[in-house]
Amino acid sequence: MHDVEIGGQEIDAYVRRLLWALQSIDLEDRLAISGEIHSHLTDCAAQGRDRLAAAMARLGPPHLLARRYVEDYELAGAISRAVPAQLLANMVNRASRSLGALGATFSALLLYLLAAALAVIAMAKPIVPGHVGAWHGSAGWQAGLVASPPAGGLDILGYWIVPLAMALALFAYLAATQLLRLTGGRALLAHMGRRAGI
Amino acid sequence: METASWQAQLRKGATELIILSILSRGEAYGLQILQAANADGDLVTDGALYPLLNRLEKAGKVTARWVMPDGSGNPRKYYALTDEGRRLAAEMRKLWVGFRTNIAALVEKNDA
Repeated sequence: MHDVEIGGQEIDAYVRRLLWALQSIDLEDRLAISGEIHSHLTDCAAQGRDRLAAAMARLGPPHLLARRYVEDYELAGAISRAVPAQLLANMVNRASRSLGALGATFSALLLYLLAAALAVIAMAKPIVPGHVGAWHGSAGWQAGLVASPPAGGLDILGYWIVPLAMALALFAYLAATQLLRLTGGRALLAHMGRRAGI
Repeated sequence: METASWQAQLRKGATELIILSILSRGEAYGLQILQAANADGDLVTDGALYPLLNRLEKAGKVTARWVMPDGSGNPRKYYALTDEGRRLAAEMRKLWVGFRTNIAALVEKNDA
């Protein structure tokens, strides 16, 4: 059998085992990774059998190479799937070590509190309509859930405050979560860099 | 034996900077990056390069495109720096120069 054929079989066998070990990754990414490794080994095989053997040795066994990819995907997936409470707990933990994490955590907490306050306003309007609103009167503007509405003040929004407050609450919630994911993503990259010794 | 492990850590620490620096010169595929990285010594292994390229791509530091050659040639995945990657490379280079200067000064002083 020719060296080229033997090399081709070795490459196919290596890539097959790599593909199998990458099962937990999306098919598209799995194919892209295995395609690139196949291409690399094919280029090396063109330089001779010794070069192919050396390239395989330097890539390491397929399951260990796959493990490097899978760990990164698992960490990245953990960040994108994490619920806000997990993200917040993670960021609070990092806040003592990073000024950026401290700022992001504080901002996210403020946004979550704002979202909660807006949700309370939206829910309270049907229960205590006279105490929830956005009034304008001689004393100026007053808005929200108040113990004593301003005397003579005109409630500008009426029941429109319910959808408005809900929309703003949702926006604040999503903004806070996105902020945590972005900052958490950077923390993830830093973690990956440290793990890779970078 | 003890220095082999230390040397491996040094290489690991420099791998990202090496790859970004090579891509600063222009688009390249994996084997080209490896050959450029290892031209003057064994700095980057094949098994470290590809997962790192994948990670840099996911992080938006590099973009990648497959190039299918005419005829029956081997398809190759070419990488290029994004603006973000270029900024990171410049920042890392600056840090590296400072680090190298400090270490060299210290080591040479001890040697003298």
